[in-house]
Amino acid sequence: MKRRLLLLLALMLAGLISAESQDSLGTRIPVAGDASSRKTTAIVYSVFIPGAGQSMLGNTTKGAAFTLSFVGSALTALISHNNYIARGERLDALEYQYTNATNWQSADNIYRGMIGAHDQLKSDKKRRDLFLVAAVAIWAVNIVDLVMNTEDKGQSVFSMLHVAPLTDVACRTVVDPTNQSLFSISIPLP
Amino acid sequence: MTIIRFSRPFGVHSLCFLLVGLFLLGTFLFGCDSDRSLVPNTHEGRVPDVLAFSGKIDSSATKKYIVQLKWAFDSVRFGTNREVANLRDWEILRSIGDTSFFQSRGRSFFPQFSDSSNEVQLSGKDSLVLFYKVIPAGFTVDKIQFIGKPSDPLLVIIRKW
Repeated sequence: MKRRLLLLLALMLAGLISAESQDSLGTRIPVAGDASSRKTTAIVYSVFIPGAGQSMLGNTTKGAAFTLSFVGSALTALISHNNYIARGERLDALEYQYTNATNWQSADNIYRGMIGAHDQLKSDKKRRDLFLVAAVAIWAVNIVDLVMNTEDKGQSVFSMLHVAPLTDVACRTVVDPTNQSLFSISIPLP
Repeated sequence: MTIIRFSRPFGVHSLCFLLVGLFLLGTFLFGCDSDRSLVPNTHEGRVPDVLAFSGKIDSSATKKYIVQLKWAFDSVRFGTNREVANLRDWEILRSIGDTSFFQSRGRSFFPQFSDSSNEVQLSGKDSLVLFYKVIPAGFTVDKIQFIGKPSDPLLVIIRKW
């Protein structure tokens, strides 16, 4: 499991490095002022939301990959931790029942349940630790990548994004038979 | 005396690497909680198990059938002192025909029991199928009398002589 995760992480990083040059979203204009202040802002973004800094600097694919992989790993770690706590509480309850059992049969049933709950507890802990380490690794790689490997592609200007113009859109005001004026928009569908 | 001089003040890069280091350290410390151990098994051997459970059919002077049951416990492991071994007595249970419903036939302080009740008499039938079980019981400790592991059901078939 650990090996698979590391392999996946390595593949993802390799993909990110190759995808860096392919990022493009609309038109970007070079930054005229102090570029290092933009990078500082990007680092602050990435510290709190991994990938946000990369997206801000124009490397959107890489940024999205970092964000998704971090959120996925962190969420899995969180769910596993929640399950770990729940299994611990279940084990507490079973231990109480076991120590107060008055006959062998019920004690044996409870003990089997305890063994099962303990196994699940261990696997939840293992999963939590694994995904926590993965989330931390992604976070650290995200910061290192932003500092060392991400170039500023310039500021994205929303008004310069290429959007196909809508043709034949008609807006008009009509008066219906009850003398109420209505505003109508007609858009021709392909 | 050594004087450490920084060639330039700490920049954003240094801060980032410091944060990465702190985060990794924090995660390492967080992940270091020890594994929770399972409480030790205390129900096995709390009361000695029933061993070598056997039975035979005999008859009395008045031609009544008697089922004589015998069993043992591991006195090498638990000792012969019943109080030390936590073995107060045994309960004997019987089921007629199948193992669906066992009824108590009484308790015994010795590892043997004789059943000559009316239910084990053929009374016109050719044969009678009986199942017996023995359950050991411990002494009352801390207001709890622990009931031990029941023996496997012993099949006894009484046939007409």
